[in-house]
Amino acid sequence: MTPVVYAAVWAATGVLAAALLPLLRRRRLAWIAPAMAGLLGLLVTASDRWPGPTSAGYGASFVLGHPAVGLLVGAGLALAATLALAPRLEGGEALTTAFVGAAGVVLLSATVPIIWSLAIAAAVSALAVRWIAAAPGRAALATGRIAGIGAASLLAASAFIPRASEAIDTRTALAGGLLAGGLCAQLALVPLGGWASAAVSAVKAADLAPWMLLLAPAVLFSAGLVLPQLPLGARTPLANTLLGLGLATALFNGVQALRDRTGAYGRVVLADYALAAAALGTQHSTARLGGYLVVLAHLCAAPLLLNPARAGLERQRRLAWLSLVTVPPLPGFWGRFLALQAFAASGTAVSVFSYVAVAVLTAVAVRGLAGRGATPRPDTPPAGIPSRALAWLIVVALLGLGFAPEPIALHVFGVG
Amino acid sequence: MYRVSQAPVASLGFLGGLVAAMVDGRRGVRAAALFAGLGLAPAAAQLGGGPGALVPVLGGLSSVIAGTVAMRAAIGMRWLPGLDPSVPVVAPPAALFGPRSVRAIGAALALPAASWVSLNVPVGGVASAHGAVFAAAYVWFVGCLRLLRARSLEDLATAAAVLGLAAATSWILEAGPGAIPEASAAAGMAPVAAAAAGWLVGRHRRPLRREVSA
Repeated sequence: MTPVVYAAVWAATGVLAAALLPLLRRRRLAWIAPAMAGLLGLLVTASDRWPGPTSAGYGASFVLGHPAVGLLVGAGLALAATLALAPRLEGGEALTTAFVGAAGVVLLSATVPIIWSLAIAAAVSALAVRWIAAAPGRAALATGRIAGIGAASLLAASAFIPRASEAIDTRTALAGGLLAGGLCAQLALVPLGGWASAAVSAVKAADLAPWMLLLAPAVLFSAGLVLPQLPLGARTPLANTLLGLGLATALFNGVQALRDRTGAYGRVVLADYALAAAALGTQHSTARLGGYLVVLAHLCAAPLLLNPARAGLERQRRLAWLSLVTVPPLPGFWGRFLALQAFAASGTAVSVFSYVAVAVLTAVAVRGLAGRGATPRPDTPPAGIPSRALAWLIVVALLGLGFAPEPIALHVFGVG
Repeated sequence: MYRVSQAPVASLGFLGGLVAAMVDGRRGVRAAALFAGLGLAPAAAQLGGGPGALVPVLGGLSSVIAGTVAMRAAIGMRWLPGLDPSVPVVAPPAALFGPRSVRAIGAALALPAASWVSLNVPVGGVASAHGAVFAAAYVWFVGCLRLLRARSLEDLATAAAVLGLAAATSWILEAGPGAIPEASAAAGMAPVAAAAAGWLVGRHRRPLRREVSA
């Protein structure tokens, strides 16, 4: 299966689910759409060489590398689990998930920058429409505004990337600056990340998940791919921006996660992605694998922790929080450890901030392990037996990831 | 490259961008896309020739058609009205200058910014097409302005349409006639945004019509 066909499969499953399930009065089965789309990713031809969005100057072609296919399959299953464990669904979630998934396939397989940035813009548009419909307010509007501006910056940067030079001239600096601004907005780095922090509190888990489990990781993966391919004049400002703002975001969201008990997990994800982005900014070789492991840990933990607390899932949620403690052999450890290795290689000043951020994130996980802030709301229905069984399955996957991170990363992303 | 005077190319881009910055209402997305597309056509023709010029023009025209068809389809179908794209998501506070005044000020400020880009940043193999670069940069700034000052989904759709056309034109300026397929994909954002806005508008016009006829 080619990447274009696979993108069409993502879109088709969502359209079918959104059209048929409400007619059959089976909205709860919306999880089938991302699960099918994710599993069909196993049929996609993964290339040994993942060229990325800046590999070809002009002339669009689509190539999915092994890490991209691994992310799409994993995200499909994680999105399905998130929808399956959601207390309530409205029916439109499957459609948004599918459109973001289709855009994610194009984003990850693009070989020219304009198609890459266009896919990001399409995904952001789909999310903005859904969030405004589901939770109208400042947070949803800010998504359209700020994440939209980020996508516009990437669209503008795409015209300057192909002939950016090694020397720092106006054009190259503009390419680096626009890329940095666009990526910061998409990855919710300060000062452009307020929209995501607000959305974590305002938007339901089923609506938030397509950004958190698919779009943001896809942007992170492609940023890791773009960075080494850029000429020095554009690479340096981008790497420095990701490093500085990523660390600041990790610290900020870590502290906010300690203060905000209901939306703590969302903040932890923002902080972890920012830490992974900052590690990419060091341009150290372990950073990319660290990012992969951070994403993999959250693909497993998010279905349990992103959804609100429900009766019957208390123990599973505590074990999911346990998995995010930065102690070996827990899955939360390995990705952060590799990121810390990258920071240590960059110098003492940088590594001090990163150690503080990781310590704060560990404190948040320990607090979650103690079960604080996890009291189910009275209007949240208790989890049934299938949901409890699925939650235990997720816990087993998390523990497995902790004990065997390298073989799993090798199998999923082709990198160990 | 087709040698023409850069002043009219820049002027048409400016006029197209100005209309895109100011239009509002239920036909706003379609009007913005059409005028932005027409304004950018001479700029795209500089390096893309006739096929290049067709990309923004067809992007604008197809936005009008797609938006109208989607709106008519939504009026005719038995769907429950949902999100109204023209209703502000957040009620704005009363202010001396309304949203359109702020956009007018922003459109004026975008002039020097786009001029700076056209004079200092070489785009494409030929660095002398300053007017064409100005047109693309000005419309891009207008798209960002619409995004920044967006209050409703209709504003966001207008911004998406305008930005798609600006991106398509700048890609043609960068890559030349060989870039038509990718530029067409970028220009495709305009009809998709117009169709989405038209569909949502149509869902809300249907009950109004029934009330009037009743």
